[in-house]
Amino acid sequence: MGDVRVILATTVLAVGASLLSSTLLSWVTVAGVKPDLALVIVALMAMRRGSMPGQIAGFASGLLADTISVAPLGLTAMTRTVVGYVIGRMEGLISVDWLLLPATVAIAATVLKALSLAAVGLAIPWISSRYGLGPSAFLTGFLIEAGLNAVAAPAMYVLLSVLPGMGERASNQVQRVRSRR
Amino acid sequence: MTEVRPFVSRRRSGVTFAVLLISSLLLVGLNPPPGHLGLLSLVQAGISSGVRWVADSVAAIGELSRNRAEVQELRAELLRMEQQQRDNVQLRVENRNLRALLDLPRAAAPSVIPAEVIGRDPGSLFKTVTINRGRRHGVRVDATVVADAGGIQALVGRVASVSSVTAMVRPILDARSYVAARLQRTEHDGLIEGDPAGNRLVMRYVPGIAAEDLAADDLVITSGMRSPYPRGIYIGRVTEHRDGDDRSTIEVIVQPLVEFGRLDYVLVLDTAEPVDG
Repeated sequence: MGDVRVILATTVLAVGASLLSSTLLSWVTVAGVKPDLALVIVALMAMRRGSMPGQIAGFASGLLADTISVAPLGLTAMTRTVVGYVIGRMEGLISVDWLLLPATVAIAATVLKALSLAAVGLAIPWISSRYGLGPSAFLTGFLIEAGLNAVAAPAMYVLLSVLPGMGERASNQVQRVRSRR
Repeated sequence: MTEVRPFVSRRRSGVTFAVLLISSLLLVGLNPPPGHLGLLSLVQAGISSGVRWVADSVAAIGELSRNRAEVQELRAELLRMEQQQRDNVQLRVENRNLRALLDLPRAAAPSVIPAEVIGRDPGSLFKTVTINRGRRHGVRVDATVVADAGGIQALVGRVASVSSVTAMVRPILDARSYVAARLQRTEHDGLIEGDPAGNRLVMRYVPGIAAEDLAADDLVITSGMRSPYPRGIYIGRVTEHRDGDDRSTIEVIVQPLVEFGRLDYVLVLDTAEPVDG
């Protein structure tokens, strides 16, 4: 599957996950915090397919998610772009298992999201005060969200694995087999 | 130009990242109005209706047996209500006569738009809900939203943005929500803010003297002072209080009457006039 198709498929999946989170799964919360399934999808796809599809799908899905939120347009797009790019840079560097790695990637993605939002809050102070991006939101909310994302990630990883064309690049698989030998 | 092209093709991913990052930051900085509620809110409405239809169908089977007993209770209730209605007519006549004597203008009754909650914010940072009524139904930005909480109308929040058929409501739990409030019994005023860390509210700037009279479960209502919310709408109950930032004030922790996690139906009040307390 080419990059364009992967980007489109990831964007559709991430937007679908946002819609599910806002409707069907809106009751799945711990202390008012829900898992960010769309972020996990973007991060997992970036890890498998690299930074280019990861960041474009992150930007597109984030922009669409901002339209059904009171978040300023571009905020979710920015965080997912950062996550897609940074996680995508690690493509092929780490071995893939279905449990620990997806969970670790999900935690890393949540930390990147928190850092990106904190950076925006520092760079544009009125965003921080107007949208309540204060320290308390980061300390409690993101710890819980990281945990929830880590729990959801292995299932998302397995789901992505069974979708045709959404697996790793063939070049990465060959590289991994060679390194094992 | 010849040097730029190889650089761009070599660093394609990095250049794309920079372009996307700057674009998104520009969008954030330009700060267009929040919640654009386009096509995706219609998809939200579709999913929500489908889920509700399935849930209602399953629930209907169990409800059949309960309905029979309920009918008996409702018949008895109806008799009581008919008596109450007769009393109300009498009271209304008395009220009209007394108002005429005092020469008071009649408070404008707000028009009420019932709506169904069809979605919630996809993320955890914001606590907004989307309803299935929009501009076409008369919903406007900043309109007050209330919901039934055990028989009384309690404050949910206000409309943050409107599309033609849906609207986004910012609940009072949201960290950016401010409500001019009053302790109903002691009549002390304060300002209620949402607590981003939990499902509770913090009433700030309450005069320190209020601590002496304050009791758990005291009701808190909107004061209507310099606020888009009409006066006299129930907000929540006092759970505890603590010292404020300065010694002259206290902070009161308020448990909202509305259960935001179970919010299914709301009423949008379309009024610029204060309602009766």
